[in-house]
Amino acid sequence: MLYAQVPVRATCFKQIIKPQTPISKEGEAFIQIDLLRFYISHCYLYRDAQKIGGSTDSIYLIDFEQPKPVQFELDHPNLVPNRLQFCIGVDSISSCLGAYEGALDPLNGMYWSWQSGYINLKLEGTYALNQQKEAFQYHIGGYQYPYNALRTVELDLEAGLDFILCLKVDLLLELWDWKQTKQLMRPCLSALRFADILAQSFEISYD
Amino acid sequence: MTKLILYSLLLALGGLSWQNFSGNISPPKHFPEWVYPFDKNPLTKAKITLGRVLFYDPILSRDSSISCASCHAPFNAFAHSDHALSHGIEDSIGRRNAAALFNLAWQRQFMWDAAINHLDMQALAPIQHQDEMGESLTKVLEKLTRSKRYQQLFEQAWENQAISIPKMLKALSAFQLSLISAGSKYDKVKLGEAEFNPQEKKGYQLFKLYCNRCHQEPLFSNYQLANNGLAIDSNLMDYGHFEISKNSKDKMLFKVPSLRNLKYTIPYMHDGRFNSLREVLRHYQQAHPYISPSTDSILKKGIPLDDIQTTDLIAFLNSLNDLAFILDPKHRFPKILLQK
Repeated sequence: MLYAQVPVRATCFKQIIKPQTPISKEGEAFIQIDLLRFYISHCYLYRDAQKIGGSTDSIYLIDFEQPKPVQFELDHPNLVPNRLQFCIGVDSISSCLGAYEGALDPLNGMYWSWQSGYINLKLEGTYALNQQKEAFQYHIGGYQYPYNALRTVELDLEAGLDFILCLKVDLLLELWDWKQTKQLMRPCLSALRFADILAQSFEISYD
Repeated sequence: MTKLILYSLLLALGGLSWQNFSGNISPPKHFPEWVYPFDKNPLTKAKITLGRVLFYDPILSRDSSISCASCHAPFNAFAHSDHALSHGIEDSIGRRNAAALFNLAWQRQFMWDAAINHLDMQALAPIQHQDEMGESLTKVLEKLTRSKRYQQLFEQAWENQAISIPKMLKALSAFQLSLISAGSKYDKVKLGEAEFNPQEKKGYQLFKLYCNRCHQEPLFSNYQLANNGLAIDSNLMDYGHFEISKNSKDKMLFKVPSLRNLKYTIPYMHDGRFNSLREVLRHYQQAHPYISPSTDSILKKGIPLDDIQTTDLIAFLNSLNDLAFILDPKHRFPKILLQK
């Protein structure tokens, strides 16, 4: 069996996000990300309509402080994939099965304690605006109807397996209109909208 | 024929695993199938012991002052009778009456507002709540890992695997799953070992007429959510399941508690507002002005009980008290915690 590793990266204004490091926009400090974690699950590689590989673990917790790649097991190594499909978040079945070790360990801080359910994405940080700082905190999750925030993402691949999965945080915050809502920490309609935007904020990079 | 053989084989395997996991507990004959997924967390004596020590150990709280048993005491059927609302670290007071803990293997949702979907995840709420134990999971893991006692107990329960939060949660579940209350007079009647007296018989008929829809026997709860017509407490402003769902239809929906062991679990209701069964029944007898669309229909007009019928019904409810459960030494404070 052959395996392939796909790095996952988070960027903001084309800069790789690093802990406690301000990110500048047009030469000035603009934003600092203090926490960025999210779940990726049900990852598959396709050649047209044929599934040719899947991730070796069913769920990955991506933490921008300690980024780990997603490992794929290739069922058809002779076929070059041209599409990646994955989910952002933890599905409703896994959310109801009790305590797990590993990525789903509640110790990772991605499980709500006041109600059941995993937080699909945590994004926390500070904006620096006109020398004033404004904190933001987004905990996006929800596994039950009508607030199921799990989202499926499909991205085209152009150059086989030599790619990086990239979350563009600047695009996410721009689409979200961060000036309107700087705190969101429960399953609700706004969280669903955030989840929709999050799904649009991934891209494939080849650098 | 093939199907028949396969079915027989599955039954045989089921019987075998049943014996394995039951360990020192056994399912009452007159109870329905339990719903807890024991295949994911098979019960063993070592796991139940670890869970019992964790349950009584204040190490899980930030200042080592509050344990699970602080609010869930064995002599109160693992509820708390001294006060209406639960107490936590640093003299904090919570918003709800500590619920009794027994027959948890038959329940799919937990807490008064049904916020928790699995017994294994329930303990996360009180451990991390600022008005209860106020501790972080990281600190809990640090404390457990440093403790030689827990190193040993976890090794025994999990065959030398490392201590972890999921294992701690499963051990707490294991102990709580062992809290089976099925030794009341009612149970003995159902098993043909006793008979109701005439007053209890009359009370049983009234129970079946007015109470059994929500408080279904033999567990004496359907463990679903219901609005029993209580008015909102203007201080607590607790709307029950609405606080989770934010759906206005869910206002004042609370999980139906079991009617077993009521003698030991005073006060009653989610906010402990009633101190006697007569007060509770008086509430149900009234057609009060707080009826909302979600209120159970049987309660809209009030339950027609006269004083004698009320006494008969209470006589029946008293037959659900399980003294053997309350006094069971297997559930009590473990002496190992007295050792340094």
